[in-house]
Amino acid sequence: MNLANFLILSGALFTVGLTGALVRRNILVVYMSLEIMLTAAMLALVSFAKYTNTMDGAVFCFFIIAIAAAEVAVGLALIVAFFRKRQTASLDELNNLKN
Amino acid sequence: MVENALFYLFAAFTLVSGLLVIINRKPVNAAMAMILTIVGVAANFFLLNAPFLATLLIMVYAGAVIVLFLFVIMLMDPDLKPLKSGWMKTALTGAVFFVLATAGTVWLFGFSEALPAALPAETETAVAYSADAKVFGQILFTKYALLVEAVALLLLAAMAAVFMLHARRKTLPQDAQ
Repeated sequence: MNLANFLILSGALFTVGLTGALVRRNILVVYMSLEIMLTAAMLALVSFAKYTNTMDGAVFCFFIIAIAAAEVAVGLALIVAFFRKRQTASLDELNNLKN
Repeated sequence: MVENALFYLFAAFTLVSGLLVIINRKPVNAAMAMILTIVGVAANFFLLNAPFLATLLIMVYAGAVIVLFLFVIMLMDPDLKPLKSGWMKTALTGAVFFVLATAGTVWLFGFSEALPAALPAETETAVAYSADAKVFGQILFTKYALLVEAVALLLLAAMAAVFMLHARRKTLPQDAQ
C-alpha cells in the first residue's frame, strides 16, 4: 500500500465520474457524477498530504468539502428551477437559453 | 498484511459502488450507491490516517449532500422514459472510454515511472501530517485563516443565491407566459 495504489484508485474513481458525466442523460445523475469526481480529487490530495508528510493537502480537502456543499446547494436550486420550467430531468431538453 | 487487504477491499467497494451510480437507471438507486461510494472513500481516508476528514466527509456528503439530492429527486419525481433506440451505442462508447481511461491511469501511476520513488522533501518548514484534529484547527486558523473567511463568505453568497433563485417567484413561469 503506497502512493501509487491510492493514486490509481483516485484516477479510476475520477474516470468513473467522468464517464457518468459524459454518458448519462439524467441531469441529477450527471450532477452525482461530478460529485464523484470531486471526491476522487480529494482522495488524491489526502494521499499526497500523507506521503509528503505535510498538512496542507488535508486542509485543502477540507476546503473542497465546504465548497462542494455550497456548490450542491446552488446547483440543485438551478436544477429545480429548470424542472419547474420544463417538467423534465433530461439534459436533451436543455437546448435553449430563451424562456 | 492486513492493511493491504483492507485497501484492496475498500478500493473494490468504492469502484463498484461508483460504477453502480452511473449504471443505475433510477436516480434514487444512484443516490443510494453514491452513499456507498462516499463511505468507501471515507474508509480509504481512515487508511490514510485522516480520521477527521473521513468523519467530515461522511457527515457533510452522506449526511447533507445526498439527502439534498434525495429531496430534489423526490420533489421532481422524474418519470422514467423508455430507453431511446441509441442507448446501446452510448453505453458501449462509455464502456470503451472508461476502460481506456482507466488503463491509462493504471499505466501512468503504476508502470510509467512518472511518479518518483521518493517525493521531494519540503524546503520551508511545513506542519507535519497528523491525524489530530487539533493540528488541523491550528493550521486552519493561522496559515489559512483568510481562506476560512473566504469560504464563510462563499457559503453566505450561495445561500443568498438560492434565496434569490426561488423566493421571489410569485407565479409559475408557465402561468406567466
